[in-house]
Amino acid sequence: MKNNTKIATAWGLTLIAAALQVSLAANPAPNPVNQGNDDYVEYQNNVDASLADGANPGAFTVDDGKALFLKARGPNHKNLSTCDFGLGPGVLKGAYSELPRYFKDTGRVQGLEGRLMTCMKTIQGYSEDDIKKKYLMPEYKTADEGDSTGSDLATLATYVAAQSNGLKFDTKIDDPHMEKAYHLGEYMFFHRWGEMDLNCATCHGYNGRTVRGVPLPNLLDTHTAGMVMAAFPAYVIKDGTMRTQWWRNERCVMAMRLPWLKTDSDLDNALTTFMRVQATKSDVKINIPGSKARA
Amino acid sequence: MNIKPKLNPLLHASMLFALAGSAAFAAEPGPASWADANKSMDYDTFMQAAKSSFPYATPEEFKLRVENDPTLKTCNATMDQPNAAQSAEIIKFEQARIQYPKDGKMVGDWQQGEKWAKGTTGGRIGFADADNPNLPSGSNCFACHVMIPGFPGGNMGPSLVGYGKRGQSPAILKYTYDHVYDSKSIVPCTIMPRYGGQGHLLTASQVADIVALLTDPQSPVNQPEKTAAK
Ligand code: HEC
Ligand code: HEC
Repeated sequence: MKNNTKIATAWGLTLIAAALQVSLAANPAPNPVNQGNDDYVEYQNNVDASLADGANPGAFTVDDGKALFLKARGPNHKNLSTCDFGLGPGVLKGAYSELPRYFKDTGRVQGLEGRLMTCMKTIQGYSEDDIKKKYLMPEYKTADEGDSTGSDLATLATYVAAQSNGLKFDTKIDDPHMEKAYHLGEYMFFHRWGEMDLNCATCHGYNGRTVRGVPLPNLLDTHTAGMVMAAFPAYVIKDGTMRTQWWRNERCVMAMRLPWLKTDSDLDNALTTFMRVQATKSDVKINIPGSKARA
Repeated sequence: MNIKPKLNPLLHASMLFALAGSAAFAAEPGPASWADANKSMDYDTFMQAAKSSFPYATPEEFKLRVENDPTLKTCNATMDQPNAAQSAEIIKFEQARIQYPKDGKMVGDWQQGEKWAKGTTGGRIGFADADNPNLPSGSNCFACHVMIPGFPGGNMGPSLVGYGKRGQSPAILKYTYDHVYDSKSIVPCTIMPRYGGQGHLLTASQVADIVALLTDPQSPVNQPEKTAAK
């Protein structure tokens, strides 16, 4: 951990380029097959390699998440062991690999964070208001006050997602609800809006684009999409904590100067569905926790 | 980089010389296999989803950030390939949006401009990591442009290093001011954000400061690397 704090402080925006060059020289990482988004693949391999000795601190979160998952909590004093992530109550193995999917009980397409919140309500007895305060409207902090803190939703998500490690994504567009979610996601990916007039495709629809010299993933390249999606929930070095797929969606939505994206909202789930379908077309296997350099 | 330089036929003739030596970038077509992505859903259904997905936005924020103005409507409807008539309409609409500093000076202070150009915060709303609305916004030009020798920049826009070579004639100053305040008044559907005016990040005087950063011979944009690195 000590080592990581050092790495974390080294990842100031302006220092990224310099830090990268050092790690590029020190760790020539293997370059998996991809369709031309090489700069990003190399960049991400080096982020992974910077967590030397295979020591991703997020590995501890898998254990923490298991303990939390099995702990009796909430007004009903129940644990989450009967939560249904789509393969039946309590079935965790492989469940993450098929999310998002349509759930009859809520009548919605949901992903992992959404399902966890649903079970907190239906099984543990938390109220809508509890969930809202705790997860949907996280404590207000300005950028000057430092990064937002970690969340036990991310801790739980890390445990459940890790139960799909080694599997490929298999998100299926097999009913009208999933079809609608996919098309919403596709539409949003290419829709320009927000104070910056941008869409996701501007930064993630082409090979070889960079922001401030940092290579961007082309999420329409199926291998790259696989690599990206298979890494979340990921340990974010700059924040020193685990972050989920919703969090990643929200970060970019925020950068586009759109309003705060509600976790488990239709657009959150639509974006994740669209990107998971691209990932499903790749051979990349889920490997939680992944590691990411920064916000 | 796969941005193809392409001269925009609609550019005002008097602006053309401002572009000499660095061909204008028209908005490039999106990835070919996604050419119909904007038809996968209708705008109203999408806006319904946006309403429930952004529940904490005020009506004002929703209007300015979420709903499309006529320009973005056209860009989205054409996947950034407006035809000649649509381009002319966008340029007219956007030119009318531009406001100049009250004192009439299009060139401000380049040292301030460097702050605004490098700044990455401003305009983010919501909960964790929202910006303090009382502080001036930055504009993160470096996300897309290399601008100051030795300072990392992105490659989605052309390099602006040495921009000051074009001089500081009134036509150059106006072209530069207009491009930063409202890029779409010059290149309709460019990926470069519009920075000035309601619903965007910068004030008129901040834009003037950035014009100074680009055009002042003393600015680090127009100096060799050693004075620039900070
Ligand atoms: C202005 C450019 C920009 C836009 C627009 C943008 N992003 Fe990002 N995106 C980034 C940057 C920068 C990163 C972080 C890359 C890094 O440092 O690893 C990122 C990272 C991501 C990642 C994780 C990538 C990884 O390496 O694991 C995902 C997923 C993502 N964005 C999705 C989206 C979606 C969905 C949208 C549209 C809602 C979007 N982005 C819009 C710049 C952008
Ligand atoms: C999202 C990416 C992006 C950002 C952020 C951005 N630009 Fe641009 N910029 C572009 C692109 C693409 C072009 C080329 C097309 C055009 O002219 O609009 C461009 C063109 C320009 C030009 C005209 C270049 C010429 O040779 O005449 C200027 C000047 C400029 N940008 C300045 C700025 C400044 C100053 C900022 C910050 C306030 C900024 N840009 C932020 C993408 C961006």
